[in-house]
Parts: sequence; C-alpha cells; structure tokens
Amino acid sequence: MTVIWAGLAVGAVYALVAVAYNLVLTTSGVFNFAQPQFIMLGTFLAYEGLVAHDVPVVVVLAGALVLGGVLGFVEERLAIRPLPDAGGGHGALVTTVGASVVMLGAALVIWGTNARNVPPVLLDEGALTLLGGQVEKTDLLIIALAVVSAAVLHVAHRRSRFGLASRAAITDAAAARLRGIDAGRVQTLGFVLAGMFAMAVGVIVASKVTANVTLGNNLVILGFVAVAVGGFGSYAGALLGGMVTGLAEQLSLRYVGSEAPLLILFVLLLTVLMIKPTGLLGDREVRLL
Amino acid sequence: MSARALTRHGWVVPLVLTALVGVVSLAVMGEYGQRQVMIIVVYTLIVSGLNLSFGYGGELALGQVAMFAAGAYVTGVLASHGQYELLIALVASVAAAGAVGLVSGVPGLRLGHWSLALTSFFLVLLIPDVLMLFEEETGGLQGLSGILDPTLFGITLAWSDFFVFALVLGFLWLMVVRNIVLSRHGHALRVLRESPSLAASLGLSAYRLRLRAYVLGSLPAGAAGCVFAYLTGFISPDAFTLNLAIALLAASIIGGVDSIYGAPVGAALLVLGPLQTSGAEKLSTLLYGVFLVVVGVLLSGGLASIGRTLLRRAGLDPATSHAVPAAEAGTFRVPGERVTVAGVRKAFDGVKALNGVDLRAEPGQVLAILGPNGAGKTTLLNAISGFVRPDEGQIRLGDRELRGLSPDRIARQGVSRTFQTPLIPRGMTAQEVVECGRLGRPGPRLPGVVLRSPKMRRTRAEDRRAAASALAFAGLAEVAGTDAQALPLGTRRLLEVVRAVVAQPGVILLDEPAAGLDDAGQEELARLVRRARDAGGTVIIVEHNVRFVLDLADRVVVMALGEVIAEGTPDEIRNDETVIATYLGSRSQAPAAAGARAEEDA
Repeated sequence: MTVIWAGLAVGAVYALVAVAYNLVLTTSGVFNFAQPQFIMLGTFLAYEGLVAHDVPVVVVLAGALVLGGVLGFVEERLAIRPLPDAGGGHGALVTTVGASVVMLGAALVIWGTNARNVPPVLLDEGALTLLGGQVEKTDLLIIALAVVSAAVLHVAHRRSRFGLASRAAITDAAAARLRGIDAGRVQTLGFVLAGMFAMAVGVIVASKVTANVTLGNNLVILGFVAVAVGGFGSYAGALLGGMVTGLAEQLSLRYVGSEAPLLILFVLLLTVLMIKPTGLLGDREVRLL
Repeated sequence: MSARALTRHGWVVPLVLTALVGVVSLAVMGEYGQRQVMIIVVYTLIVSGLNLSFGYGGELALGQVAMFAAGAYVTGVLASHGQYELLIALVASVAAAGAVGLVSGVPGLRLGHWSLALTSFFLVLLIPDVLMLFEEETGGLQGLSGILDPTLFGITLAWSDFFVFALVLGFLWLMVVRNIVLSRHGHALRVLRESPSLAASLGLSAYRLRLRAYVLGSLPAGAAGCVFAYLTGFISPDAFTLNLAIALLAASIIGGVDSIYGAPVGAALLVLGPLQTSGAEKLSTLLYGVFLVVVGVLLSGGLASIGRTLLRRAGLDPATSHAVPAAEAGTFRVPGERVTVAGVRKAFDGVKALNGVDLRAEPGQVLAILGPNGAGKTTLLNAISGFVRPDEGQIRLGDRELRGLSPDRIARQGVSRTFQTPLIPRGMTAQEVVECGRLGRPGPRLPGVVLRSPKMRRTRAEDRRAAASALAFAGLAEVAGTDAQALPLGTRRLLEVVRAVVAQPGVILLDEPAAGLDDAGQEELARLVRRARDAGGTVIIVEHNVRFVLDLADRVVVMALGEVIAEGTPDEIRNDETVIATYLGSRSQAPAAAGARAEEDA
C-alpha cells in the first residue's frame, strides 16, 4: 500500500502539471511547453522564501501567485501574441520551447545545478499510516490539491462564463468574437491563470520534489504523458492520467528496477497515442494546433 | 561560367566550397582545427535532418539527439566487437537511427505537432536509461572507449583520410537533401506545410508525407553519430543531452529551417560562435532560449532568407532560374466523368446539413449549385471531395464509389477542387504551383529522386510541360515565372483553377471562385471555366453570385436547408417560383433566410 500511496502522490504532481497544461490548452489551443518551468521556479521561490529568508508561508504563496501570473502574462505577450495567425502552431511550438529554455537558463544562472531541500508548507513533517500503508502528510495534501483543483476546474469549464467563453473561443475564434467574446483576452487570462496555478503548485510540492533545475524538463514529459493518457483538454482526464502515470512509475520502480519507469511510461504513451489518440477522457473540442 | 549556369547546376558552388574547406583545413590547420571542422560536419548532418522534418515537413522534432546517440552507440558497439569497417558502421548506424525515427514517429505523428515534439523530446530523456539497461554492451554511464582506427574496405584510414571521408559524407548528404527538396517530393512537403487540406486535395497523404520527412530526417543523425564516435574515440551519455538538442534547434533556426545550406551555417555558428567562449558557457542556455523566442517571433526564414534576398538582388533568383518550356494551348484535354450523388445525408450534432441530396453532373457541362448561406452547398462539395464524411448515400465518379475514402484517395480517383481562399504555398512560382496539381499522380520514388534517375527527369519534364501547357491554356503563360503569392487575387483564383485542371481530373469542384472578384476578374474566370468544360471537363461550381452562375452554368441546382429545391437550365431557374420565393427574389430573400434560421433552431 505504501507504494500505492507513493504512486498517487507523484501522480498528483503530474496531474497538477496536466491541469496547468489544460488551462492553456482549453483557452488558446496552445500546448505550453514552458508550463512546468513555472513549477520549477515555484520550488526555488519556496526555497528562497522559506529556507533562505524565513518569510511566512502565506506571503510566499501570495508571491508565487503574483509572480506566476506576471510571468504567464509576459510569456503570452512576448512569445505567443506577436506570432502571425498563419502557419498553424509551428511558431508557438518554437517560442514556447524558447520560453521554457529561457526560464531554465535563468534558473541555472541564479541557482546553479545543485538541488536544494525545502521544508513542507502548511502541514508539518511526518507520516501517517493509512489503509495499511505509510504516507507523508504533505503527500496527502498534494493528492487532495490535485483532486480538488481538477474537480473545480472540471465544473468551472462546463458551467462558468469564463469556461463557456473559452470553449467558444477555441472552437471558432471569429464566431466567438461576433458574440462579444474577446478570444485574445481569454487566451491571456488562460496563460495568467496557468502561471499563477503552476507557480503556487511549485511552492506546495517543493518539499516533495526538491528545488532543482532539471525538474521542469522532467515534468514537461511526465505531465505530457498524464495529459495524453487522460485526454487533451479534460480536467477529469488530467487527474486520471496523472494518477495512472504516477502509479505506473512507482510500481515499475519498485518491482522492475530503476531504469524501468521512463521506458515503461514511454511505451504507455506510445500505446495510448496509437490506440486512442484523444486519450481516455479526451475532449473533442480541443484540437492541438 | 555564367551566373545562370551556376544556379542551374546548383551543386557546383557547394562542391567548390567543400573542396576549398577541405584543402585549406588540411594544408593550414592543425589537428585541432580539423577536429572543429569535423564537428561542424557532424552538426550539419543533424541540423540538416532536423530541417527536413521541421522546416520542410513542418513537424518539430526534438529527438534528433537520440538518433545521433543511436548511430554513435551502434558504431561504438561494433568497434568494441572488433568491427572497424567504416561503411558497415555507417550503414548500421543509419539503419538504427531510422528505426528509432520510425518507432517514435508512427505514434508521435498521429496527433499533430505537439505530440511529435514531446515524444521525440522524451526519447532524449530515455537515452541514459536505455544505455544503463544494456550496460554490458554500452558501458553504461562510464561510456565506451577505444573507438579508433576505422578502416575503409579493410584499409586503416589515416587521420587526413578520415577527415576527407567526413567532409565528402557531409557534402553528399547536402546533395541528397537538395535533390529531394527541388523534386516533386520537396514540392509536396511545401504544400503540406502550407495547408494539410490542400495537400489532401492534391492526392497527398499528410501522415505519410510527414512520417517520411521525419524518418528521412533521422537518417543523417545516425551517420553523424558514426563519424562522431570515431572522431572522439570515446562516447558516453554525457554527450547526448537535452542541451545539445536545444542548441541544435537553435542552429537550425538561425541557419533557416527551410533551407538546404542554412544547416552548415548554423552548425558552424554553433561550433565557432560566441557561445563557445568560456565566459558565456553559463549563460548559453539562457541565450539559446532568448534566441528561440526572438527568432521564432521575428524571423521565420533564418539567415538563409537574408541570403536569398541578396542572391535575388544580384539577379540570381534560385526560384525563377529554371527555364519554363514554351507550350501550345490548343491540344489540352480534360477527361471528364459523370458524377452521381444519391441520397447523401450529413448531420452535425443534429443539424441536418445535407438531408438526402441527389444530383448528377455530366462531362462537358458546368453544373452550378446555388443557395443561401447554410444551404449545405459547401458541405456537399466537402462530402464529394471527402473532407466531410456523409452519414449515408452514394457518391460516384464514373462507376467508382467515393464515399468513405479519405480526401487524398478521392483526389487520386480524379476529384480536383479549389478552396474559398486561394491556397498558394509560399515561395513558389506560378509554374511550380500548377505543377503541384500533378503531385498525386504516380511519380519516381525517393531513391530515384535522390539519384536523379532517368525516370525522375522524365516525370519532371512531363510535369513542367503539362503545367506550361495548362498555363498557356488559361492565358497565363506570361506569369509562369513570377512568385505566385505576389499575383493579384483574380490571377491566383485562375491559378487555382489551372492547378485543378492540370491533374486531368474526372471532375473539377470550384468553391465560390468568384468571391471578391470584380467584373473583369469574373469574366476571365468564366472564360477559363468554359474552356475547361469545352475541353471535356465535368465542372461543379458552388457560388453566391447569381448572375455569374446563371450566365456560366449549363445546369443549375438550387439548395436550401440541405435539400435540393429546384433543378434545371439557367432559364428554368430564373423563372422557378419556389426559387424566386426562397432565394432569388430580392424582397422575399430576407424573410426566407430568417425563416430558415428559425427552422434550424427548432
């Protein structure tokens, strides 16, 4: 059971990445390659705030929300908005990869390659025995966060004005504009929300994943596996895909060996792409540009 | 040698430059300098493969480093088993890289751009794990050493011989790329990058084209790995990182992703450029990133586009330099066939776009489909050409059933079409645009193209002749050599029709060809359509412009709400009461349209 809990906990991290991907995917149709770097920066923010400067957790979280929102805004304005409409998503592909590398490079310059430990936020350290397995309190918090955020966004995407507006905007931007929906604003807001969300997630998961610069590149892939398995644009799918990914990783790590997880996840990804390209709970409205 | 001859024999300049680099490096540089040159060759091979799949195929792949690693390790493992023969290692390395490309490309390309970028990115992350899995062969994280003294046909190569081998390899590959890019395969890729729908309408399967470009692009990375392994004598996972992948992408973009010779330029900058100075090392990742964003936003053509502009100023425009054959217009025939549509239905989420449509179009006739917005005209056109799959009914061309086939297969059966907005690929002359109309016809296979086989030359000559005579047929012979995108809208519309005609299709579908044209433009268009009809073609035209259609068509079908409400000659239609009530009569038009919308809502 301990291994199951471990799988669900890392799965929750992947699910959170997938949720952040979806926030941008469902509002602009762009796959934001740079999204996991927001989480990476969030972990360093947690390190600077909680370890280096002893700032209260609430302030660090608020700072993460603000900084994440600003960076999301900047990314959208500099790397997405100026692209010509024509030529499909190629431009956005290069520029979001570029944005990702910029953030990675900046972190390398500031913090170097050493990983740093960060204490848990909101809950103290310690493990519980639940359903016959050991689980860290923070892990439970992360799992809960993943479940709640996926559920809330799942409902909001269907019911709220913003959710409806974004669905209209990516289905047909011109038609949406005629109905008074500003597709450009929806897109900006998607990047801002995703940035805020991802950086705050970074602060919360920092104690689990440590602050290190390679985090972003690993999460790019594992979050993508989660989104691909669960289904592009589906928040319920993000949760499911994340959990499947996390469990597959931890189980293969435990029972097969340390080289196995990535290979097994790669095979899982290829299988899903071959058999059900839209993922388990894929949203037909979201077409990848 | 004249400037024109130089551009026509495009391999001369690169050959001279390569020879020059070889002679200078061997004569003047020490081993260090020669090593740098060989690293440039290695990166050129990889970047050039990336260009083929990203720049020409339109698919960003970040996994070139994995193919590079596959090639290097195959060579390394062969050497550790006592197999030092360079040609064997080269073939095995290229095959391994191709296999990696195929395995990642088949699923990765299923879902469009992002999924290939990410599956290939994943490949790079997998390198250390895979190497650890086969630790006994690969040396795991310790790496593999002793990859020395390659032989060629059993004779051990001296350092300078190996240098020449690498240089020749790089040159040959660039010539392979050049031959592919300039051939109809290259045209097909450019069409695909412009618009997958256009590619499909010309009979090209987007998935297969992309897969081919991607797998082809992975081959030189394998060759690069082979050279790299013997160059360094030692390989370990440290050489094959994501940073290298990003640096190569940057090199590709700065050189120009859709250029042949941008690859060596980008590779040289990567090896010799400012980022290699020791102080910049820490900043290099940041700079690559800034660079990707800036170049990605501002400059899509890279240095190559600047070079092309300079060449054009010097009167050496590579695009217009091939001679356009003169052609006679008189003999052009279009083998039209009968089109039968019977009981075709299509619903979108409950809205019946087509509600049991029957019609028939005959060779040598223009059939026009009229109707208000939302009548289902374009849906019908899309159903015939396969872009929309009907729920039921029959669609036949001659006696061949088309329903259920993919758009590219339907196109190969003989259905040609145009689009509401002209789709003209960037950087093509009018002549080349028209030649693209023949891409769906059987042609030379890739090896033939690479070696410029007689069959390839024959097909190319036929394509050029057919395109030139179709242009002459349309009275457009004088614009054959001009950049097609720069032509006025009316001429681009005509060009689209010519492109549809040149395939000698069984039926030509025109989707609102007169939209946005002034009277003179409409007249020219009408003249061309009549000529195509008189040459034997079956023409189906969807149009809003009632006067234009009634003057042009032999038969007219009027649609409303997914059904045919009237059919007849233009004169019969002019006087048909239902048609006047629902569509033609200007006073009753507005209420009719409003009523139509109310019905749709209900």
